Amino acid sequence: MIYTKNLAYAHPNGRILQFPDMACAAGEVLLITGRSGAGKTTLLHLLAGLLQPGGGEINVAGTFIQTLRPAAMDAFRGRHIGIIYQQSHFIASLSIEENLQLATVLSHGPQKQERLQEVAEKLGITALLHKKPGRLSQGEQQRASIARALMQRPQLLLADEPTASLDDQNCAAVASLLAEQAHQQQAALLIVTHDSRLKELFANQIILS
Amino acid sequence: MILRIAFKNLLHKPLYAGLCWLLLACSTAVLLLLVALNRQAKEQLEKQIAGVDMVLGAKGSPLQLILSSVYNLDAPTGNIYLRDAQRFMQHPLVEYAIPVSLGDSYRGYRIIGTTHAYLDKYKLKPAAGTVFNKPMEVVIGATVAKRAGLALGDSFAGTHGLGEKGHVHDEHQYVVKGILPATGLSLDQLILTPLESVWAIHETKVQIREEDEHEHAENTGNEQDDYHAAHHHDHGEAGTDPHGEHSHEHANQASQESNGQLSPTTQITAVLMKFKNPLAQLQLPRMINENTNMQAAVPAIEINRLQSLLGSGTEVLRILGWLLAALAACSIFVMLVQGTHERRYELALLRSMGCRRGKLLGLVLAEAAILGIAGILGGFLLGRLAGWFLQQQVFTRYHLNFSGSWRLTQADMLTAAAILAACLLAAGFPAIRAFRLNISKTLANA
Repeated sequence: MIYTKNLAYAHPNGRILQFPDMACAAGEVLLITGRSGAGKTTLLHLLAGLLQPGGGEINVAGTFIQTLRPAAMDAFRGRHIGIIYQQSHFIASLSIEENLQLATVLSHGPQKQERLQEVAEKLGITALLHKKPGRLSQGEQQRASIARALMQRPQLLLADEPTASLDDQNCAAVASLLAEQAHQQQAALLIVTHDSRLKELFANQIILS
Repeated sequence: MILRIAFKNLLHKPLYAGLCWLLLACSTAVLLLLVALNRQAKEQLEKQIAGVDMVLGAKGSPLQLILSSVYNLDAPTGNIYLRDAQRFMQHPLVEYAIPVSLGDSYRGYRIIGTTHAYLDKYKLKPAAGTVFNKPMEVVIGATVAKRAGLALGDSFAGTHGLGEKGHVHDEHQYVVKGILPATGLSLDQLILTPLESVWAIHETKVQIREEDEHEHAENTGNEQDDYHAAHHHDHGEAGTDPHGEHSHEHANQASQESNGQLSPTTQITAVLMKFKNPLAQLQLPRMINENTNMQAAVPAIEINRLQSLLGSGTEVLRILGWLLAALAACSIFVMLVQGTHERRYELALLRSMGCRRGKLLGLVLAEAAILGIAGILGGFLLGRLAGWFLQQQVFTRYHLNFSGSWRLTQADMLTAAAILAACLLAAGFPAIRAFRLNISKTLANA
């Protein structure tokens, strides 16, 4: 579903980051770890098309995304890539339900109320749909942001430190939830983390140095 | 969806958005009210002087003469002798001449002694009853009928002077013969009667009031010299256009009729004149002002002068209005700059969810546009409400009738467009910042 070749990123300060080649098939999980400053977040942003690579190529679902222009990249990302951030960001003025709908609206996908209910049920946030994001706890927010990433049935799920701010119990719950959803939807799941609790859960790992 | 987010974002910060809206609404209200007042004042002022090219009256302030005789606002400058005035009323270049005689009032409404020509000028016929035909018969304006509660056949006595209080001419009772339709002009607030009524009432008064008599003596003294000069001139002009005299005989019929039976000291307050051609506009006023003890004032000139006098006042208000608008634009700018900074993660998030950059630009501009349009609508309502309130409380006293004030004019639209443009301009910088947002950096620094 996703693979990279000779991927490199030229930092504005002149430093060049080289990334090892990686690949992840549909329904599988790849854990990317490394010490702070090794370029974990940079890699994730490259894979999401938020950053333009300095060299090499990235193929997501058959498309070389480094060739896409900004507007096309935004549209592609909206349709095929779901991103879960370390800190959950929502549009503060909209309810959770509207935030989830936003994902489909912005990528011009078909709007289905059933999909919303289905995702909300899976992640156990049905009761939270009418609340504003600010009124949710950390764990609830993280679950809501996973729900948002899943709304479009993306083929690639990218998670940036999804468990860093969660306690042990929530960490295990979120990790298994992510793996389960990726498997169910046949999406490739890439998790960028330095959380040692996750290293024990997923076998498929790449270490950045 | 973008519009919806913009709207929700505004509601998310109700105090800030409310402040911006209030500033916008106030500035719009001030500006639109000014536009409306300027337009209405101009329309009203010009409507009243339609058909009056020159006013002949006693010496004094020309503006006062116009205000008193055409707009029925100020006190008259004094009286002139009908005999003197008639030379000009029958001038071949004069299309029609309407004599008016002021002096009395009823409950603050002026009683004007005049001829049928006064009504002919407005092409008006009484909505009820008939025109006046005999002395002491009156035709009253629509407002007078309503406010003073006068109906056809009612009789009343005039009060001396133009105020509400004064000597009441109890011995002379006017009879209402006709009621005029509402016109929106000062005519609505007038009581019209034949010149003879005014003369009849004041025949006795001349003897009673010493100062009046004094004035007479003065006038008769001056008048003799001027008479010859004016007469001479008049004669020459009349000779060149012998047919003219005949044609306007009708307009002056009433005054000519009365001429026979009245003494040479018969007075009127002013004569409203319309010329046959623009040439007279150049000749007659100068001739009268230089050669007689009467004054000729041109309404168009005086009204221009009045407007330029009032102009500096409205200019200050206009500057204040634009200042308020600038302040509103500044507050929108601050709100959006702060908002886009605080919500930069949200903006980055929207991008990462597949939102194009142009839409982020649109989002910020939409917030400003929603505020702008809401502010302009609020200001429009506020301005018109203020206009309506002023109409009720203040302007009726000055015989100004601002009708159709809800109508939108081009000037209104231009003002609204300028304010909206200012809002969008204020949103320009934050919008461009949102457009150029580095989403990777923003999200990485979360």
